Amino acid sequence: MMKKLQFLPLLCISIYGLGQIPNFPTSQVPTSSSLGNFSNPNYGGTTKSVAPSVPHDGLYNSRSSQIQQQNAKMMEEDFRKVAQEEELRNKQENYSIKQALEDSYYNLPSFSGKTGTQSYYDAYNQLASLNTDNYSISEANFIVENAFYGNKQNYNQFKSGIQKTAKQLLQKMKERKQDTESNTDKNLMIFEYLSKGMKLGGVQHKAIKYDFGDYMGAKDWSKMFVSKLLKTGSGQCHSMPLYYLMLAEEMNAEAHLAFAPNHTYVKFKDEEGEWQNAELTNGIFTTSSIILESGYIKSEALQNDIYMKEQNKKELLAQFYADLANGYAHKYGMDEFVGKTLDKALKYSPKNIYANLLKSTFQQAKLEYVAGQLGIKNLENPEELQNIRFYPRALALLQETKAQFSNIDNLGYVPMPDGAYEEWLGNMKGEANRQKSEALAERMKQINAEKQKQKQQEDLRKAQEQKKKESQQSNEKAQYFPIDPKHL
Amino acid sequence: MKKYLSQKTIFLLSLLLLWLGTGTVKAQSNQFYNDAYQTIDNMLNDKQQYSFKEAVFSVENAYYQGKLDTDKLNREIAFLKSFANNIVQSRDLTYKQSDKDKVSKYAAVYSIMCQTLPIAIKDTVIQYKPFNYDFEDVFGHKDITNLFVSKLLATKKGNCNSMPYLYKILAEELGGEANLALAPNHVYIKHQIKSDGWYNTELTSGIFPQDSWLMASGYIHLDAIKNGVFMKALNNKESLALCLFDLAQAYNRNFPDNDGDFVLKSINRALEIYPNFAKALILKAETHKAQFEKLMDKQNLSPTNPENIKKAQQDPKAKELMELMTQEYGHIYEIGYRQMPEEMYLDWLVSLKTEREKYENKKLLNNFTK
Repeated sequence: MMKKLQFLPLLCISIYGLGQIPNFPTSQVPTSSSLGNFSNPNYGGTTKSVAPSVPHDGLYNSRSSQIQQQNAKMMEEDFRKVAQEEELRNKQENYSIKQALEDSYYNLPSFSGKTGTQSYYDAYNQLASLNTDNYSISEANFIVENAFYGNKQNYNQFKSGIQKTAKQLLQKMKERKQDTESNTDKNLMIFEYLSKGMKLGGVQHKAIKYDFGDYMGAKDWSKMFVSKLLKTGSGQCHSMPLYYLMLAEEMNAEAHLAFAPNHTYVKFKDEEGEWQNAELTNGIFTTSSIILESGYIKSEALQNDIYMKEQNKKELLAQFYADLANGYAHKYGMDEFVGKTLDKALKYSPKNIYANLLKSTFQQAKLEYVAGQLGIKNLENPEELQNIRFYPRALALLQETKAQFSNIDNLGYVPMPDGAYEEWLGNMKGEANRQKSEALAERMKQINAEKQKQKQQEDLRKAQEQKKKESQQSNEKAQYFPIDPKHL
Repeated sequence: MKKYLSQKTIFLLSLLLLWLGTGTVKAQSNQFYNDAYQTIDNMLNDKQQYSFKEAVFSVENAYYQGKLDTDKLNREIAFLKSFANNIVQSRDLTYKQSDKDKVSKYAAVYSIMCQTLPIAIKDTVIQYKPFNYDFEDVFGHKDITNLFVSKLLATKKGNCNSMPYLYKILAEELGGEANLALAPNHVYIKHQIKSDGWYNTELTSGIFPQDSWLMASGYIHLDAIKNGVFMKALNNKESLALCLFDLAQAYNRNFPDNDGDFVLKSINRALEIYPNFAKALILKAETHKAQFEKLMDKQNLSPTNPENIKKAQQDPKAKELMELMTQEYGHIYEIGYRQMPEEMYLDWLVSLKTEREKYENKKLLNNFTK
């Protein structure tokens, strides 16, 4: 409702502006009538053919007074028009001042004055310029992290590091006589590199360690970053899967991000078409039931695909937008940029639970601010909250905030306490799960080896067939000539 | 156009008459089953007011061929209802949210189903005994009436079929709602409340288990959850689809050698309402299998010899059935259904008690007991 009311004055102005266009022809009307005056006998009477000189000089007669009148009229018209325009401009200015004033009540104050915010606004535009279905994960991730560092990072350096590792991994696969076309083999290679460590190009790389310190990035947001992982060799459940995906991208392997409560991990399809879960924080392949045992995944969450579902490119981009918003919120706080960025994320992935939760946090901060501006200090107090009904825009905000709460509930989300998350990650490491993981990896390797063998045999068979065919063809040719003369 | 229609109806009618004339000998038309089907179908078409109680009793009555004492059952339900109302009025829950009225009803039905309660009658206090789980014949293989609500009411012992059904009936009698939900070989209750969103009530043990307990059964494939085969809160119409399945199953028990027509009719209607209803899909495929075997029988081919299965398919009708069956079993696998061996079922059910710490939603029990 409020939105409509805002538009109404704007609409009036634009109609008024259009109304000016018919004014132009009317100012031309007198000219056309003065043209008619040429046929005026009075004018014709002045037979002085010297007339084509300057009309103002000698001809100070009725004709000139007519012109004067007309000029005066035109000037009057001009003045009126100018006055009108002035009035309109004032109205517009007034309106926008009032609007800005009203907005200042209903929008969070912007941090745009602070140093570094511009790099976030630029990052938003850079993300927006990416092709949603075909972009580089390294690039999108770099944009997000670079915004936090005030645009001071070097993309080429970042990218070439990943490219180098990817190339070395492929080289290693060739050395081991593995199939560099096999998606599973490539994924197994990345997984081994990250979780076990490996000697590449004469340098021993250690396994990426899980960094337990501030793993949610509460104190230092850059703890979430892949660039931090690359610098320190340790990461957490946000940076590790992303780094994995970047390597996969460079190696032309298919792998996807997937969510669990407070958690992300990697999914890829093996040669049998089954999804495998690569858990990088513990370096194991997990079965679905291990993930489900966290106890914080409701069946509704699975029905709505908020957890354990492989994210496509567009959905992953939504995640980057949400990361951008979260980084901004951590660095500066909540303002409308956070809301705008989250809306973009939710446009690409409406059910992304991370973005939905952030959106709810944003709305609550905004509601608290707006209510505060209107003199409602305690939102928990129902009597005080009642006063909000006098302010339609605030009321709408309250309703949106509530609607988002039930949206999150209906998606099947249950909050997971921090302790429970750590416990779950710890449980995952158990010996039984490690063994299960080994068995899974072994099975994948075996199936790959079999497939490769089959493929080789197939190739061999094909080659033999081809040979046979060729020899047959040559035989046919050979046969053809002797037969031909017989026919003759 | 109208004329064409009437011609068409006449044509169809004459076909129907022809079919009736030749087919009555084969089709086992049973009035009680037809009535029960009609009752449920009317509810599905909104021609008759929805009542889960009526649907359930109509199925059980069909099995008993009209001999079920529904008046007595209704009196017992009415007693439990007034008892539940008393509980609602005399007990103030610690639950604080705005849907407290609703939650009080759920808690009352839960108490009746699962808790021993003291009742004051004048000066003496007697103990109300809850319903218990019956470990005998949990799947109703020996006697299908072991699955019936009427049996539960008569003996106070039931299983994962009758107990959630009775729960749903009582909740609706109190003016509330209750959603049935399925797991392999299993039925339980789901409710949505303000404090917790969706939560589960497991009546066989009287525990509120987290979803992870069901998922840990090991027989629920992720796809089955996503496709709503299992763990989906079924709405009232989908619950009626369960009744249609029960009806078809009871019919098979009453008429073991039937031609499958009534069973398929009931099952197809159930699947229209709830397309990913695994048990119904399986029964449908099995019915087609039975029909196929009948055709083999007609050709005097023994079904134990695999050669004969090929031979039988020279009959185009048999071939069609075989193709249908293969497709149906494939579909059941595709939507994520995996069969849980029956002997695993009780182990799993008991795991909720032995691993209560791990799987129970304790917050809810605290809400409900005071």
